[in-house]
Amino acid sequence: MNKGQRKTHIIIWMVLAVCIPVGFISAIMVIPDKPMQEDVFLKNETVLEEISKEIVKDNLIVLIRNDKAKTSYQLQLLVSTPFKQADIGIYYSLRNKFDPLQSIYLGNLPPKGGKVFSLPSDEEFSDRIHIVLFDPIKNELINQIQIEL
Amino acid sequence: MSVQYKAIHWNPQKKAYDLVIVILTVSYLIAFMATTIIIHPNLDPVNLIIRAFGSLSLILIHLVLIIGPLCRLSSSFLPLLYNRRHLGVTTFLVAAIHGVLSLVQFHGNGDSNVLISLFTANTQYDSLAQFPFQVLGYYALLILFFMAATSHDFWLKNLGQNFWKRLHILIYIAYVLIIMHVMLGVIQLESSPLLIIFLCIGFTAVISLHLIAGWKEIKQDRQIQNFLDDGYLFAGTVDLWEDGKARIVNNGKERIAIFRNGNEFTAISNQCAHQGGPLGEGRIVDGVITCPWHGYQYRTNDGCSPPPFSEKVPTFNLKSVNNKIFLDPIPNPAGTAVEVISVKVKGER
Repeated sequence: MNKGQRKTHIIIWMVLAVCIPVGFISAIMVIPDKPMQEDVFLKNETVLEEISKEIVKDNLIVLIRNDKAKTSYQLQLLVSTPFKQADIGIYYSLRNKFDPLQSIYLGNLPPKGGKVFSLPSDEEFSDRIHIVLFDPIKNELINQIQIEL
Repeated sequence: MSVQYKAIHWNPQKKAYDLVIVILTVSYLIAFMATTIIIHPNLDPVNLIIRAFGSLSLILIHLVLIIGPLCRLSSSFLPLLYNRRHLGVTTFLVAAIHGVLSLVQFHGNGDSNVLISLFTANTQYDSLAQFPFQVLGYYALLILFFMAATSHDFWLKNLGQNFWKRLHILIYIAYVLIIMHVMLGVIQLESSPLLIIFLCIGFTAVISLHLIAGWKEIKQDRQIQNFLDDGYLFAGTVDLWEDGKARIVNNGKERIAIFRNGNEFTAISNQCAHQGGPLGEGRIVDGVITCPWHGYQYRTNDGCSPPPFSEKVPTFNLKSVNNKIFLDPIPNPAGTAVEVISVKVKGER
């Protein structure tokens, strides 16, 4: 390299020494409070024995399961026709209008087959809940299912 | 170095270098996928491959970027530089697999073209949290493609060293785009801090090494030898030179390599005609000056590559007075033959 090129390089790296950490810190600051938990949505759940609610909507069979003492609940989703989306985030919301930041992220649903998700504890449980299917890649609402318990 | 263009001029060093690249990349991919399958047995296999190639390209871009400054700080890293372009092309290929699979996986099932979908699925450019990070990866991949496509000596020769170097500075923009692609993408979705820590260590190392090496170079550029009344520069007493090696002198505009070959002294530009490598940090091998970066060679008396090669660098006139070497700082045109200074060096026959 010649003198000019060496000077250009160090100037570029001095600029990057500021820009990269700024971008890095800014990105860390906007990480949502409830990031996707790999260990949650990939955990194999033991299916609870009782079914308290069953709904069929579009290509989904939705089951709310509970134990005998009704102290813990599960959401079981069975996909009858495979989804086109690769990534389907499943959210639990108490509100009609879905906001990912105001909802509880349960895990990811594979495009075909089905999955069981643990539902929140009693104090967060309500008579009317909304299960939202959301594509985080395309930032797109796929489906919203209201369940009366 | 060669007189004609071939896709790759294979030699034992390049073969060994590439073999190491292949072994390490394949080993990493297998190790990553095996570990991930154990930890996350339900992960979609395509997503697993996307992650494996994505993380590998992230590691490779860091390696590519730290080789340069490491070599400026210590010559023991020079073997890594010799075939760095193959490492760069590997980075592009690995990133391309990650990119193409991501496009197919996340945009391939829609009713629009995957590239249209890439740019229109998410248009929240005004939100940092929801920023369309995939677009950043796309532009980084585009830059890596241009880097890989123009990495051959054919382009270096035809575009000219200065333009080629400027073009390849785009790698720094690609690096920033990749960092932000990861930060606004997978980091927003993962809860594990490991990736954040690795990324932080990675860019801190890259930036620090470049700044340290760059600062060292700037300091050397500021060390200008004293001019004498006749315009010559005092380069040093003959006993300062090791046989077959050079001392580098700075005339304020450029660096000049003064080589000692036995009792003979000659001076040529420090900048190799190939990629601007520091000739003064090379050695005299088989009677010719050999660049430490890629082995380009120049004759000591006229700065020309031995036939049939055609590269040449500027030469400089020398004179010796009382075992002291003096340099005329004005360069001769590239390839000009100069008088070789013969000086009896103490301890030499």
